[in-house]
Formats: sequence, C-alpha cells, structure tokens
Amino acid sequence: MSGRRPRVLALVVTLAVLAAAGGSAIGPASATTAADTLSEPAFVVDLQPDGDATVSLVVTYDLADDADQQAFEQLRADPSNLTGKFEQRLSQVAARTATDTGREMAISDVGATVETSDGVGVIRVSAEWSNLASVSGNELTLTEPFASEFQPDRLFVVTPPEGYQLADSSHEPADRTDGTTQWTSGMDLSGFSTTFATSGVSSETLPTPLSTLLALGLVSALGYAGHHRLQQQ
Amino acid sequence: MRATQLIAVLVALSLVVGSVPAAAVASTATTGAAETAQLQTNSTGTNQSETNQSASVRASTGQQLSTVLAVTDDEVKSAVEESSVEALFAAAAETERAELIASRGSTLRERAAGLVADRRAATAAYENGTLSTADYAQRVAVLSGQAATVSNAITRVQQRAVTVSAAELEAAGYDAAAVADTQDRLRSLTGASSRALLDQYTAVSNGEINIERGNGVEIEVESEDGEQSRSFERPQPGDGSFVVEMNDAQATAEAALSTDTDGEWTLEEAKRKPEYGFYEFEFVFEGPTRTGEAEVDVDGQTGEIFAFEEELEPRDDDDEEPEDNTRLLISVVDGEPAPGATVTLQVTATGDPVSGVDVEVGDSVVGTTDDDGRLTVTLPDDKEVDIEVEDGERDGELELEFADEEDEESEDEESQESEDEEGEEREDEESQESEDEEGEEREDEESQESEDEEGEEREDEENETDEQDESEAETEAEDEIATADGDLAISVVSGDPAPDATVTLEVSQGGQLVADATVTVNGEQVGSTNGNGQLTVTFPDDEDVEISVESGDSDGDRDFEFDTDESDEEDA
Repeated sequence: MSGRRPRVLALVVTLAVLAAAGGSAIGPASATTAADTLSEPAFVVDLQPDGDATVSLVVTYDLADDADQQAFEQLRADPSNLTGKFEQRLSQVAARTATDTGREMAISDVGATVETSDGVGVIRVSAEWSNLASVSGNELTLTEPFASEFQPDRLFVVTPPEGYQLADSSHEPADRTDGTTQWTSGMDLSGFSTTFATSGVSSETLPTPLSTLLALGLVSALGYAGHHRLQQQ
Repeated sequence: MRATQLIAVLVALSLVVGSVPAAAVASTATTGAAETAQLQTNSTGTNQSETNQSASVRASTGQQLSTVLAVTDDEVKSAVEESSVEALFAAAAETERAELIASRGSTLRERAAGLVADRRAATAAYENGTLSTADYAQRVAVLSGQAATVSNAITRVQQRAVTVSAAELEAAGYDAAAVADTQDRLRSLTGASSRALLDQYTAVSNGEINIERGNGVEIEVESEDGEQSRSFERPQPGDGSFVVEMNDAQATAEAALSTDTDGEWTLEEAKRKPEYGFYEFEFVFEGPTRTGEAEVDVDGQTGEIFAFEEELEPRDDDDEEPEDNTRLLISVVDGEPAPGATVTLQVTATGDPVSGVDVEVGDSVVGTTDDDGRLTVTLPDDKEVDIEVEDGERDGELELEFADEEDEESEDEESQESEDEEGEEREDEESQESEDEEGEEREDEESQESEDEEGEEREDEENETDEQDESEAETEAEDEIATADGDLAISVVSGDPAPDATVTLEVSQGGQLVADATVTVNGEQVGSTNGNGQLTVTFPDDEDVEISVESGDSDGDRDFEFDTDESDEEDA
C-alpha cells in the first residue's frame, strides 16, 4: 500500500492539475456585456450563439463644464442625429462582407445611448449585425471584415455568448478579462480569425496538437506505470 | 523517484506551462483562417510596389470598418461639441456671444491647421516611401472626414457671427478673414478626390483608387457608380511673379481637363492671385450623360499646373437636357486681361464659333460676335469683370478677377492702418473665392440677408466694399498674407494676432513652405521655422508688432497694428 501511495498521489496531482488548467480555460462567461460597462474608447462585439452580434462603438468625451453636461442631456433625449451615417456606412460594410463570405448579413436596430460618469460622457453607438460570425457545431468563428486589414484606433473587445470560451485565435489577445477577449488599439488584425466554443466539448477548448500531446502523454505515463508494476510483481 | 511518478508530474507540469498561453495563441488551422487567406487576396488586390511610382488599391472591408469607426467617433464628438456651443450661445448676451464666436473660431482654425499639417506629413511619408499607398489613401480618407466636420463647424461659426454686431466681434478679437481663409486651406481635404477617398473607405461607394507619386501626388478615384475624380497637388513652383499671360495659362489649364467623355468644359471663373503668384481657373462640364467641375491652379512664372481638382459624375435623370441648353464658352484669345486692357474674346459652343451673340461686360452690351465668334472689347478699369453672353436658351459667363502689383504695394501701407478695423470685409471677399462643396457658404450668404439689422448693416458695408472699394478690400486680404515687402510671405495659421497673443506663423515663398527661416519679432530673434515652415511665437504686448523673416538671400516682413481699447470704443 505504501508503495502505491506515491503513484496514486502523482496521478491525483496530475488529474488535479489537468482539471485546474482546463478549468481556467473553460470558465463561465460573464453575463454582463462589455459595451455596457466600458468607459474607454472601444469597439465591442457581443456575440450570440447564432452568429449574430451587437457591435458598439464606445466614444468618450470629457465634460468640461455645465454646457457640456447640458449638451449631453439633449443628446440623451434625442440621440438620433448620432446614428444616421453610422447605419448607412456600416450597412455598406456588412453588404460587402456578406459578398466576401457568402453569408447573408444585415445591419439593424441602430441606436445610441448616452451617459455620464465622473465627468466623462460615454456615448455608445450600437447596431445588430446578423451572421457576423460563422457557426459550425459548437463553434463561433469571427473572421471578416476584421481579417481584411482591420486596424482599430481603439480597444477591440469581443465577448462570446455565455458558456463559450476562446478556443483559438490568430492574434494573441492583449487581455482576457471577465469573459471578454481584447486586442489593443492600433493592432493590425490582418488575417484575423478567432473561434469561441462551448465548454461541453473540452477538447475543442485547447489547441488540437497540444491536447493530443497531453492525452498521449497521460496514456503513456499510465501505461508505463502499469507495465512497470507488472514487471515488479 | 519512481519513473511513473516522474513522468506523471512532468506531464502535469508541461500542461500547466503550456496550456494557457497555447490556448490563447492558437494555431490558425481553422475554417475561418482559410476563408481569410482567400479574401485577403481578393479584397486587397493591388499592384503596388514601393519602387513604382503608381499603385492601384481598393479599400478592403477591414479598412472600411476602421475608417467608419474613426470618422464616426469624430462626428459624434463634433455633435456633442456643437450642441455644447449652441447651449452656451443661446444663453449668452451679445458680448459673451462675440467672445464665444471668437474662441470657437480660433479653436477650429487650430484644428484645421492640424489637419492640413497631418495631410502634408502623410503625403511626405507616402512620397518618401514610409507610408504605403493603401495606408496613405486611408489616412487621407480619415482626414477628409475630420476636415468635413471642421468645415461644417466653421460654417456654423460664420452663421452665428452674422447675428452679432461687428463691433462686438472685433472687440472679442474675432478674425473673420482668417476663419474664412481656413475653409480655403481645408480644400486639400474637402476637395473632390479626398471626398471620393472618404466615400471609398467608408464603403459609401466602391471602386478603383489609383495614386501616383513623383513630382507631386496624383489621386484618381473611379467608383462603380460612374463617379470619377482626379486631383493633383505639388508645391507651387516659381517665385511668385507673373511671366505667363493669363490666356496661355488658361490654355494650359484647359489642356489638362479630361476629354474622354462627350461634352464640353466651360470656363466659369478666372482669377489672377497676385498675393500668391498664380492663376486660378474654374470650369464646369456639361455632356449628354455626365456633368462635372474642375479647378486648376497655374503658376504665374512657370506656367505649370501645381494644383488640380476635377470631378465628373453621371447626369441625374432630373438634370436638364444639355442639348437644349448647351453652355457657351467665352475665351480670351488675344490680349492680356487686366483692368482697362483691350482683349479679343471668342464665344464657342461644343468647339464651334458662335456668331451674332451679344456680349455683355458688366451690365452693358458692348458688341456682337463676328463670324468667327470673336469680339474685341476694352475691359472696364475694375478688379472684377463679369462677361456674359446669351443666345436663345444658351448662355455663358466668364468672371475675371485681377489685382495689379501697384495695388499690392500701396495696399501694404494702407493695410497697416485699417486691417483690424474692417477685418470682416475680407471675409466677404475671400468667402466668394472659396467654394463650399455643399453650398453651405451660399446658405451662409443667404442667411446674412435675413439676419437682424446689425447683420444687414454689416452686409451692406461689405457689399459696398466689394462693389465700390475694391482697393480697400484687397488691402484687407493682406492681413494674413504679406508679400509686398520682401519675397517671403508670412501667414498666421493659428491663433489670433493681438498684443501678448501666441500665434503660429507660416513662411512661404512662391507657395512653397520655407524651413529654417529666421524669425524676428520687433527686432528680437525668436527662432526658426520648422520643416513645415512654421514657428509659434508670442507677440509682445505692444500696439505695433513687426515680424521679419530671413532665409538665405530672401526676406520678408509684416507689420501688425492693434487698436487700443479706447479706439475700439470710438469705433463702436
């Protein structure tokens, strides 16, 4: 019994570490959308399981005086003049992206919200973008239009649906916080491809070569241990 | 250590070390990545080579999205800013309104100067190969969008200004001429080609962009809906003098216009710009399927084109049928147009001479064209001459504008006495020269007519100046550009000149910026101009400020004379 204890302990440690490592990669996504909480310039993509997305341009404005506050109150009451051109332009980008990808896309529900916080006005101009991400099984993949030389002048934030986690990305995110994945301002995202997957299939949450390697390593270790034990007996 | 244990722990450690970063930086073997590679080829198809002088690009969807975000950000901020200014303006009394207008005007001038400087820097980077064609095109597109918001904001400042008395504006230090001049400066970013790039990079239209660099940068944009624009810009050659005659310069300008479309270009306006040493020609195009307009600047000494803007677009269904209303073209075919000069005009339609047409100079019919469509006329001794012809439903117009060297010299002395008193008059004169693509300045002019009594009085004064006292109006134009004393010109590109004020000066020679020019203020050397020909200086707290610049064998100076508060009160 005493001879088996270290081996059992090693296996337990191995499984625990595996569980811990896997757990960190497939943790639950935050239910709060990044666009609602960010108060710095950003472009936010909140993905939905069907590939649709809410895209939001977050604009910040320093409120210097009462006139700025008053202006913000007016815009809060009627933000319609902030959205006209955005809708037209984004619709054209979506139409061309649809042609490029072969997926039907449309822009709808364009709107703006205005709020103030600690002397800073935050304006969020948002729209629904249908089929922005491709859907394959339990995977959501974002490519175009970001892959075609998208270089945001602000933080680029992608939030997967609840239960999805980052599985794969062509560009290393600068940060992964509260279930969001973020790339820094000015980063050239040419060739961008990022996949999120549900936690149900854990093998998909890690890069395939590494997962395979780990599995093979474990099997080999356990096999060798069993073989060694038989030889000793 | 047992081998089994060792292997198990090693595997576990490898997982700890490798799993998280590996998960974050994954391989690219996904469906999406394969899609990307193919689209990259399609969307950014380009024959660009940094060693070549010409490159064709198409805006990719990613670039379009980036541009949409940048431009929308700017528009949203501008909307907030305008709303804030409007709130302040509505609540302010007359004096505070004037101060608000002056402050806003100054802010926008600085912003415009920054945009123009950014455009220059981008062009320089493109010309020296540090900026790719696609990046340059996108950069100009973003700047064009930002310039449009500044231009619109300037128009609103001008609209507000006509509701406030001239005396209050003057006391507040509002420099109407400089504000109007800013619109002109922004034209490199609000012109046809820059706007076409903005449309391409915000996905409003799609098409082919061709950019050529060499001796200047030429941008050609052809959209899928048939709109075409061409622009060319390079530093003005020459030394600011006039050697080439106006009709020769006009011929050079006409030769540069596109001829691959049925129709005819008609000269609408011709100007001699003595303060800059070049001719400016404006043309319109009428064809059975297309309309268009162009503006060409020809250097007065070398006769070379250094700025060119042309735009052609499909004729709208609502447009008049050109066959029934073909424009008549008036050309100066002999003689040098000048006040009091005798010149021979020729009237043509689609290239053929038109005989028997009454020619009107000013408000008087001066004769009828002969069989060759020609008529020799003596121009009135005015600095602006309007020539009109009419033949049934066809008509044509030619506007000539000149100012001679003698006037410039006399103006220089006069300007020192009156430039701060009647600065608004300059705005009126210069605003007529600068076109706003969307007709907003015309709205501005129209709105002036319906403003309050003070505004009407100002407008009346300005009209009087335009029509009856051109010499004085020309004098006022010297406020921002001084060339009479020396061959270096000194412009104020940001800040409002006043005692103790900080302003940015720009030194140029024959339209070219002069770097490393030594700048002296009231006899004290204050520094040298940077690579953009600019230097920021603080004026002494004096009523008279003399700026002198020197670069090699060239020099120039410019005097500012500021009214005291007492004289302001007297004026008011």
